[in-house]
Amino acid sequence: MTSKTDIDELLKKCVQCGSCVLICPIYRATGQEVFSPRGKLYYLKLKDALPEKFDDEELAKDYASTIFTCAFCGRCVEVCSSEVDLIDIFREHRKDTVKLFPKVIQIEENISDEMNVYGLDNEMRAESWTMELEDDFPDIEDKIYSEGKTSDTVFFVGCLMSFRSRHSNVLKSIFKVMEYIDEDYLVLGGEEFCCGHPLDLIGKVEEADVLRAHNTEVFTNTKAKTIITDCPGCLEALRDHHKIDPSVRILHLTEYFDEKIKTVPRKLNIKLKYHDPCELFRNNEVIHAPRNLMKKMGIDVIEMEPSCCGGGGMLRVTNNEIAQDIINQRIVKEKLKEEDTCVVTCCPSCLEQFEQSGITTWDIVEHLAQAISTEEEN
Amino acid sequence: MEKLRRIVIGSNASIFQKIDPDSNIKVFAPTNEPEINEAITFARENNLPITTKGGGSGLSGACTGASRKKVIISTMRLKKVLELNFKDGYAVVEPGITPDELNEIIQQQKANWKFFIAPSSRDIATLGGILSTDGGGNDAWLAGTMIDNVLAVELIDYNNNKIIVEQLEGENDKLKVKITSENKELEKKLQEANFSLMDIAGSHGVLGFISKIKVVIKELPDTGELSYAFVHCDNLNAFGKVIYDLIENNIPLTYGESIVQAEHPDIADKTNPPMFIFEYPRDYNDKMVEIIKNIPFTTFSEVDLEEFEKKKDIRINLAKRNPPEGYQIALFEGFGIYGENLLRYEEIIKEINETSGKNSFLPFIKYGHAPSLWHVGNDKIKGIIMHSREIRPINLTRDLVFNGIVDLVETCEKLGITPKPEHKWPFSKTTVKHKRLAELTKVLGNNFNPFLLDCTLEELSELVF
Repeated sequence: MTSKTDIDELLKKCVQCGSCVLICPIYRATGQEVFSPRGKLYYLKLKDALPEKFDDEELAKDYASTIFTCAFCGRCVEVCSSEVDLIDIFREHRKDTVKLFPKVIQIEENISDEMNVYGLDNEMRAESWTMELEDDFPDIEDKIYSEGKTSDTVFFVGCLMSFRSRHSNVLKSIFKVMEYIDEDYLVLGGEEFCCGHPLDLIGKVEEADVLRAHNTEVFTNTKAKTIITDCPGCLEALRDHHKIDPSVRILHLTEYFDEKIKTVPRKLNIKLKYHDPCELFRNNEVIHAPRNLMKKMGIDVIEMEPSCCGGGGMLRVTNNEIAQDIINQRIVKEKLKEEDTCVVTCCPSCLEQFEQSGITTWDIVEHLAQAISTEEEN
Repeated sequence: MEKLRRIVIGSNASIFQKIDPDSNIKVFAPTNEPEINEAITFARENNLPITTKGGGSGLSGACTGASRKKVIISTMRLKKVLELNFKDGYAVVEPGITPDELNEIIQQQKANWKFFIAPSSRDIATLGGILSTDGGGNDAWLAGTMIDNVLAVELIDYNNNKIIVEQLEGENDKLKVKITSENKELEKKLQEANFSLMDIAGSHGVLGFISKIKVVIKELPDTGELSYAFVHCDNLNAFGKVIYDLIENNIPLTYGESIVQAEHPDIADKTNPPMFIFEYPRDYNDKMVEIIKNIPFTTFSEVDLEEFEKKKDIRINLAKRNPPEGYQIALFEGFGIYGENLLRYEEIIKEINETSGKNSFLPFIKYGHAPSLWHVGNDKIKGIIMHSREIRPINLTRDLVFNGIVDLVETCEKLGITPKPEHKWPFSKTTVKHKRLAELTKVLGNNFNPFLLDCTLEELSELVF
C-alpha cells in the first residue's frame, strides 16, 4: 500500500507526457480527459499546488467518481516510462472515498458478513454446483474439504465461479480434466473465503488480510503443495497477499494444465480469438501458458489488441454503462460481430463481459475438456 | 463534472502546468463542424479568447492558454479521416487524429502506405498540434517536417468564417497557395497579406481553429534490404562530425536517432553515449562504413534488427524517464545545432551544461533526431534538433526556472543554435515568426491564444509548479 509521501513522489515523477491517455479504456469510452490517468494525476498535482481552489465538496465527489471509474487494467502502468504506478494511487484514494458508493459498500458488507461478494450463505459455495454436477461426478462430495482431508492440489474456485450459474460448465470441464490427468484435488467449499481482491481494489487491506489469514490456514491444513485457480484476481491475491508458505506453488489453471498435459487425444482444429485477461497477463505475467495449451489443443489463436474488456476494477459495479461501452468498442474494433468469431479467454469476469454482450465466449478449459474427450461432443 | 473538466483540461507536458482552474471558463470537445461553431460562438458572445488543445504532449505550453480567462476547445474528439486517396497520395483528416491512429487506418487498406511524420509522442500528439508546432520526428530527414507534408488547411476564425489555404497544384512551394473563404473581404485581405501554409505551420494556435488538414500519404519507399548500425563516439566533436558528414554525403537514412548524454546508469550502460542508432538501405553500407571509418574516435557496429529495435525503444522512451534520484524537467524545447557548429559540439554542450548548471539544473539526458531538418522562417536547415532534460533542483523556484531559461536563450543566441525560439514566447519577440504572426492577427483578429504574442516572463513564471 502506498503512503501519502509515496503518492507525492509518484505525482512528481509523472511528466504528463500523455502516453497513458489514448490507451486507457475509460478514456476511449468517454472521450474525456477527466477519466484519463493523466487527467486524474493532473487534478492531484494542481490540488496540491493550489489547495485553496479545491475546497469544493462537489468537485471532490466528481474526482472520486473518476477514480472509481477505472477497470484497473494496468495498461497505464505498463506504458509509463516514468514508472508511475497509478493503480496504487487510485487504490489509496478509493479507500478514502468509498463511502460515496453504496453499491461498493454493499459488496464490502457482503464480504464482511458472509465471506463472499454476493452476501450469500458461504456454505452454498460448493452446494450451488455440486447438485448439478453429481451425475457426472458421483464422488464430487469427497472433493470438498472438511477438517482432516488433505490433498497435494487445492483448487481455489473464487466467488464468481462458486455462485454464478454460467460457470458450472467451466467447473465441470475443470473436474473432467482433473480426472483425465488423474490428479487428486480438493476444493474448499464453505471454508473458502473471498480472496480479498475486491477489498484490495478499494484499499481495504486490513479487512482483506483477515480473509486471507483464514484461507492460508485452511491451505496449510490441506497440506497442499499446489494451489490452482481460474480467476486472475484470486491468483493475484493468492500469490501476492496470502502469505502462503513459499514452497507451495500457486498457479493459474492454464499454467497447471500446460504443465500436466503434453498432448491431447483430439485436436480441435479451430480458430478462436484469444482475449488476454488484463489481471492475468499484466499483473500475473501469465502470457505463454494459455497460448501453449491452446496450441496443443489444435486451436489456431487469433491475437487481439491486449486491451481491457471492462470487466475489472469493479467497474461493472461502479459504472456499468462505461463497462458496457468498453466491451462494445472492443467488439467493434476486433470485428467480433462482423466476423462472427468466437472468443476464448480464461477469466470468469472477462468471459461474462463478452458473453453478456452477445459474443459466444468460452473458457479455455471448456475446450480442453473437449480435446481430452474421446466422445464426440459439440 | 463540468468544473473538474475545466480543471483537468490544463494537463500538458510542458513546464507550464499550474493553470488557474478558474481561468478555463468553458471547455468544448466538439465532434463536428456545428459543434466547433457553437464553441467559437460561445467565446465570441462572451468576449473570451480561444485556446485550442490537442494531445497536450508539446513542451511549449501553447495549449494551456496560460491563466487568462478563456474558452478551451479540445480537438481530441475530432478524429475522422474524411478522405483517403491513394491514387493522388493524400488524406483529409480532422485535427484530433494522431499519426498512429491515421497510420492504422491507412494500413488497414494498404499495408505499405504511411503518413510520414513520427514525433516521439505520435501515440498522443494530434495532427493539428503537430502542424501548430511544425513538428517532425525521426522521419524528418527524408520526409521533412509537418509543413512539408501538408497540402491544405481549413481554418475557422473567431467569426466562424471558414478559410481554406491550399497549395497550388503542381507546386511544391508552401508560400504559393490558393486562399478561399465565404467571407470575400477576408479572403482578399489574406491574399494581400500573402497568407500561406508556412504561416500556419508553427503558429501555435494563434491564427484560428484548424478544422481540417490535407496531408501527404506515401507508399513506403522501396529501400531494398535495410541495414542497422550503431555508431559510438569517444567524444562529442566526433559525434558532431558524424552528423556533418552524413549531411554532406546526403545518406538516405530511414531512421537516425542519437543519444548525446545520459546521466542515468541504466540508460548509459545500455547505450554508451554519445551514440547513434541508424537504419539505412543496405546498398549504402559500404558508404556508411567509409564515412564513419574516416572520422577519428568513432566505432561503427552493424547490428541485427532485434538489437536495433531494443535501442530504438530505449531512445523513444528517454523523454519520459526520470533520473535515479529526483525528477526531470524540460527547461528548453530544442537546441538546433547545424552547419559548422556541428564541428565544435564538445564546446557547445559544455556551454549549455555550464549555463544550466550555473542555474542549479544539472544535466540529465540529451538526445535527438540526427541528421534531421527543420524550418527557420522559409529556410530549410539540416543538423540535429537536440532535446534536453535536466535534473529538477530540490528547491525549485520559478525564478530559478526562468533565470535558467533566460541564460540558455542567451547562450544559444551567442552560439547560434536555437531553432525554435518561439517555444519560449517571451524571448521570441524579435523573431521573424513572431512579427509575422503579430502582423497576421491584424487581419484575422487577436482572439486565438493571444497570450503567446504578449505574455511576460512574470506571467509565465506563475505557471510553473
